[in-house]
Amino acid sequence: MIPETGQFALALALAAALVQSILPMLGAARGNLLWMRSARSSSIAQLVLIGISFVALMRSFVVSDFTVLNVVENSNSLKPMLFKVAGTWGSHEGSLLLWVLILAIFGAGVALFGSNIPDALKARTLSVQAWISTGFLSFLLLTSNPFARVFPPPLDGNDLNPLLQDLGLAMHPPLLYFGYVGFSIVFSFAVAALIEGRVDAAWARWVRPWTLVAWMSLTAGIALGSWWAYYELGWGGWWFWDPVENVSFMPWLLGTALLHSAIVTEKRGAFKSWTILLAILTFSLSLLGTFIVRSGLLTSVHAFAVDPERGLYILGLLAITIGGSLTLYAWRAPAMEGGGLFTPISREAGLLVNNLLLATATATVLFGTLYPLVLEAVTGDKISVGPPFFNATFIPIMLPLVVMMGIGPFLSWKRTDLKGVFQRLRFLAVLMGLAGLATWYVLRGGPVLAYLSVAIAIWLLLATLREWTVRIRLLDVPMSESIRRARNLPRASHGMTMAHVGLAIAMFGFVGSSAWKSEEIVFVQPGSIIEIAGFDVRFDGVEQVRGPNYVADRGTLTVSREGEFVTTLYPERRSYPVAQSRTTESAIRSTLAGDLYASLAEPASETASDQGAWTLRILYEPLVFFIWMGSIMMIFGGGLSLSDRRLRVGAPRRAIKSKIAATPAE
Amino acid sequence: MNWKNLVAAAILATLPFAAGAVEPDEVLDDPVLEARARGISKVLRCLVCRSENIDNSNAGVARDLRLLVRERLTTGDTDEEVIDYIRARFGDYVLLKPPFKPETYVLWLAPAALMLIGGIGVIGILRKSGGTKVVNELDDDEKRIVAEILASEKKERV
Amino acid sequence: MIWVLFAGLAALTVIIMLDPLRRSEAVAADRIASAVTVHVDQLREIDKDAERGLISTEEAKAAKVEIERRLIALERTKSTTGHFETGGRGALWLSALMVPLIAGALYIQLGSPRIPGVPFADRKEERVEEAQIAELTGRLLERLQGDPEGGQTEGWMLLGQTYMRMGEYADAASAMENVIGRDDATSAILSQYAQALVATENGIVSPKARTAIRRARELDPTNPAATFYEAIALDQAGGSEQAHDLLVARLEQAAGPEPWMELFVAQANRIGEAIGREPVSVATFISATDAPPKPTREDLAAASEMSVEDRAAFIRSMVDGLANRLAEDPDDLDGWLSLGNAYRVLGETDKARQAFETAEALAKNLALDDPRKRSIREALSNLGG
Repeated sequence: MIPETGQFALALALAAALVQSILPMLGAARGNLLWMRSARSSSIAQLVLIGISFVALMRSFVVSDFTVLNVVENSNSLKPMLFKVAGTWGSHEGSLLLWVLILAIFGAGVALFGSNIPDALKARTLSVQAWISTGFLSFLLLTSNPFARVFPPPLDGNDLNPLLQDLGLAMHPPLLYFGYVGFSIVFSFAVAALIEGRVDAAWARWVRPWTLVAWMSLTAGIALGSWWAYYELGWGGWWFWDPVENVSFMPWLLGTALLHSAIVTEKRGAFKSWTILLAILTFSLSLLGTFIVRSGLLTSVHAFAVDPERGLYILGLLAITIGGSLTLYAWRAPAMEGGGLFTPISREAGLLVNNLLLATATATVLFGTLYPLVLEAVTGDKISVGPPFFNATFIPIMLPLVVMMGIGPFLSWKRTDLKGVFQRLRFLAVLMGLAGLATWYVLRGGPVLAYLSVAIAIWLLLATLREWTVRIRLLDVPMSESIRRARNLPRASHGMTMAHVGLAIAMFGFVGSSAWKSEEIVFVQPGSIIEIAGFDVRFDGVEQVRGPNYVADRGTLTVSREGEFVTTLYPERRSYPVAQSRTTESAIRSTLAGDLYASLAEPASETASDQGAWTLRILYEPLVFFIWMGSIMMIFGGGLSLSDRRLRVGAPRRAIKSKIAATPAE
Repeated sequence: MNWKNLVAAAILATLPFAAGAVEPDEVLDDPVLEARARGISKVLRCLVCRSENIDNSNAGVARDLRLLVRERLTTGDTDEEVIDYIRARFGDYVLLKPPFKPETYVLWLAPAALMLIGGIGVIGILRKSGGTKVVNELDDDEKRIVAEILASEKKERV
Repeated sequence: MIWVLFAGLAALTVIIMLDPLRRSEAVAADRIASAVTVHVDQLREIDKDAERGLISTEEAKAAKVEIERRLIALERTKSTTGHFETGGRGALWLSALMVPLIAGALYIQLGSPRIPGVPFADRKEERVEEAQIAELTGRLLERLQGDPEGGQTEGWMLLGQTYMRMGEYADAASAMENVIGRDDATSAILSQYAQALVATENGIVSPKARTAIRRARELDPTNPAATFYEAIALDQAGGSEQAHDLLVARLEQAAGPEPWMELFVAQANRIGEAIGREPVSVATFISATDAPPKPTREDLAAASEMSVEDRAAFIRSMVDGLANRLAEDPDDLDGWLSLGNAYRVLGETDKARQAFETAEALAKNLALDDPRKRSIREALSNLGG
C-alpha cells in the first residue's frame, strides 16, 4: 500500500506541476493576482507530494519491502540501516526521484522564503521551474518508475554495491544534486527575466541567495565526492578527471563565474545579458551532466543503444530546455544591454577577465570530456583524454586566474589608479617570491610548476588577507576601531575573504599532495618495518573480523617516529558475501602536515597468506587535509555572503488599487 | 542461465576492484628507473578500464603493460622511446594525453581559440565601455523626482 | 482502504492548491516598486561606504548619480505597469480539480493497487517455511540418492516439483531426469520434465525437451501440457501455423471448461497475431449448456501458471538491470557474455549480437586460447553477426 501511495503522490505531483506550468504564467501576463499566487500553493503541493513519495520509497527500503523492484535490486535485508536509507537514492530511479525532490525543494523555497521578490517575477520563475519539473516527473513515471512492483516478492534483495557502503558516498549524491539542481532555480529566474524583459540590479540581488545556496552545496558535493574517492578507492588520489567528476565540476566553474558576473549586474547594472547567459548555461551543464551519467553514454557510445528509451527521453528534455532557453535568449537579450561604464583598469574589467578565464576553463573540461565521445560517434576513432591532458590545459588557465584573484578585490569600481594598487601589493609580491624560493630551498625535489603554484597560493592568501586588513584599517587605527569596522562591514565582504582564503588553503593541499607524495609498495610479513617520510611502520599481521554484512581481513600497523609511538592503523579488505565482492578500506592518519595512508592489497600469493605475507601500500601525502579545510572555508564563505542583510531587501507590499479589476491589465 | 547468477554478475560488473595496483614484484630495484616507470604509467591508459591509468589499475592488461614499460626501461630506452613503442603496438587509444594530430586539433586548440575569441570580445567591451566619461550632475528636475521617490520610500517604511 | 488513502491525498492536494482563495488580502508587490526599494537601499549603502572611507566622496557622488538616474528611469516606467486584478476564481477551481483527475488517469495506467506492501519483518513465516522446505528437500535428496534401488519415482517427482516451486529449474530437471527412463514414467512425468527444461532455458525448447515432449505425447496424445509445449516448440522452430492449429485443435477436443484453456487461448492468440489469424476466445470452445462457472483469474493464478509470466517479467527486469550496470561499467567481459546469452535466450538477437560484439572488443587483448574468445565467436556466428 505504501509503495502505491508513493506512486500516486508522484502522479499528483506531475499534475500539479502541469497546472503550475500554465496558470501562474498566464496570471503574470494578465496581472491576475490569484493565478500568480497559485504558483506558491502548487509549489508547496509539489514539495509535499514528492516528499511523500520519497518517504514512501525510503520506507520501502528501510523495511526491505521486496515487492518493490527497486528495493530488490538495490538492497538486502542484512544491510546496515544507514545504507538501507542511502539505497533510496542508490539506483537510477531513486536518484531521479531525489533529483525532482530537490527541484521541488528549491521551488518551494522560493515560494516560501522569496517574500522580497515581486509577485509577477516570482510567479513566472516558479512556472518555469514547473516546466522542468513536468519534464522530469514524466520522465520518472514513464521510463524509470521507482515504484515498479514484483509479486510474489523474492525472498531477499541483491544488495547495493558494497563500494557504495560508505558514509561519504551515501551523502554524496544528495549534496551533488542539491548543487546541480539548485542551479535550476537560477535558470528559472533567468528565463522569467527574459520573458518579463527586465534585468536590473534588483533582479541580481533577488537571485543571489539562490545562486549562493546552489554553489555552496555543489562545492560541498564535489569536495565530499573527492574525499570519498580518496578514502575509499585506495589509490590515495582525490581527483581523477573522471567524466563523472568532470560533469559536476563544469557547472561549478560556470556557476562561480555567474556568482561573480552577477555582482557586476547588481552594482553597476552591466553584464546583464552575460549574467543571464551564464545562468542558462550553468543549468544546461547540470542537465548535460545528468544526461551523460544517466544515459550510459559516458562509458561507451554503444551502451546508449542498450537502453535507448531513457537516453532519448533525456536527450529530448535537454534539447528542449537548452534549445528553448537559448532561442528565447537570442530573441530577448539584445534589448537588455546598457549599464554603467568602466575603464580597462577597474573592478568590472577584473571580473570580466575572471569570467573569461572561468568560461575557458569550463570549455576545456567540456571538450576534454565530450571530445572522445563525439570523435568516436563521428569518425569511429577512439582516443583517450585523461589527467595529463587536463593538467596540461586546465592548470595554465587557473594559475593566472588565482593571480588575478589576489589583485581583483583591490580594484575599485569604474576606474582604478593602478599605481596605488601596485604600491600596496609590491611588498606581497616580493614576499611571495621569497616564499617560493624558500620552499624550493627546503624541499628541492618536485617539478618547477609545483613551486610556482605554492608561490601563487601564498600570493592569494596574503593578498586576500591584506585586502581585508585595508578594509578594517587594521593597525592604522586603534584595535577597537578595527573591530568595530569589521563588524560593520557587509557580511558578503567577509564571505569573499573567507572563500578566497579557502581556495588558497585548498591549493596548498592540491600542490602538496600531488608533487611531494611518497609511496611504498612492498611485501610484508609480521614484524616487517617500512620506512616512509620519517615514520617507521611495523606490520603486526592480519586477523579476521566480522562486520554486519561482511567479513574482513584486518591488518595491524604500528606507526612510530624516531622510536616514539605515533598511532596504530587498521587497513581492511572486506568481503561482502551477498554481493560476492570485495572492497578496500584504507586506514589513514590525518594531520595538518600530511596523511599517512595505508591500504592492504592481496595476500602476497595464494599459499603465502598462510605464512602471513601480504602486499601493503603505504603513502605519505603532505597537506591533503588542507584540501578539505579549504573547501569547508569556501562553503562557509558562501554562507557568510548568504547571511548578508542586503539580500533580503525587496518588495514592499501595497494595497492594489481596485479589488475587482475593472479593466484588463494591458 | 540462472537469474541469481545474472544478478551476481550484474553487481560484480559495477565494481572497479578497489585496491593498490602496482605490486611489489614489479618494482624495479633502481629507484630512478622505477620513478620513471611510474611517471610513464601515469600517462598510459588501462585499455579495458574507464579512464584509468595503468598505474592505478589492477587489470591483467595493465599489469602486462607495466611490466612491458619496465622491461623497455631496463634495456635502456628513453621515456619517449618507451611511450612510442607502446603507442605503436596499441594505438593512440593507449595515451591518456591524446597526441596532437588532425583528429585532435579541435580538442587541443579549442581552449586557446576560445580564450582568443573571448579575449577579443573582452577588449571590445573594454573599448566600448572605455573612456572615463564625467558623470553629469542631476538637473533640478531630476533632483526633484529623486527627492519625491526617497520621500515616498521613507513613508513606506513607517 | 488504499482508495481511501488516495482520496485523502487527492483532497489534501486540492486543498493546498486552493489556498490562494483563502488569502484574499489584495496586496501585491509590484516589480518596479520593488526595484525602486532595492535601488534606494543601494544609495544608503553608498553613503555608508563613504562614511567608512572605503570609497572617496567623489566616487560616492558619481555612484549615487548613476543609481539616481536609474531610479528616475524606473519611475518613468512605473505608469505603464502595475495593474493587478483578483478575479479568475473559476479557473483556479478548475485547475485544482484537474489535478486529481490527471493523476488518477495516470495512476490507472501505471499503478498496481492490488499488490500489497510486504515488509521483510512480516515474512518470518515465509522464511521459516522456506528454510523448512529447503531442509526437507535436502533430506529427501539425500534419501533418494542413498537408495540402492534408485529411489521411488514419486519421491524424485516430489523433489522435482518442489525445486520448480523454489525456482530452481535446473535442479528440478536433474531430479526428474532420474526417473524419465523408467517403465512407470507417465506422460505427465515427461511433460513436467519438459517444463523444467524449458524453464531452465528461460522459455526456449531445447532438443532434449523436444524429445521428452514427443514421448509424452506418444504416451498420452491428449496431455494438455505436452500439447502446449509441443506448440511452443513448433512456433520456435518456425512452424507458427502448425502450432496455432495444434492449440486450436486441442481446445476443440476439450470436454468442458478446463483451467488450462485460458492459457491455451492466450498462446494461440499470441501466435495467431503474428500470422494473421482471427483471435479466439475460451467461450467459443465451451458449449453454453454444460458450462459451470468460468475459472477466474485467481484460480488460474493458483494453478501457478500465472506466476510463470510474472517470473518472465522478473527475469526481464533482471536482464535490464544487468544491461544498465554494464552501461555504467562496460569493461566487464563476463557480464557482457551473460547479457548476450540472456538476450539470446529471450530471443532478442539484435541486442544479443550487440552484447557479444562488445564482448569481442573487450576480449581482443585476451590470450588466443582463452575459451571465452571461442564462445564469443560461436555465439556471433550463430546470431549471424
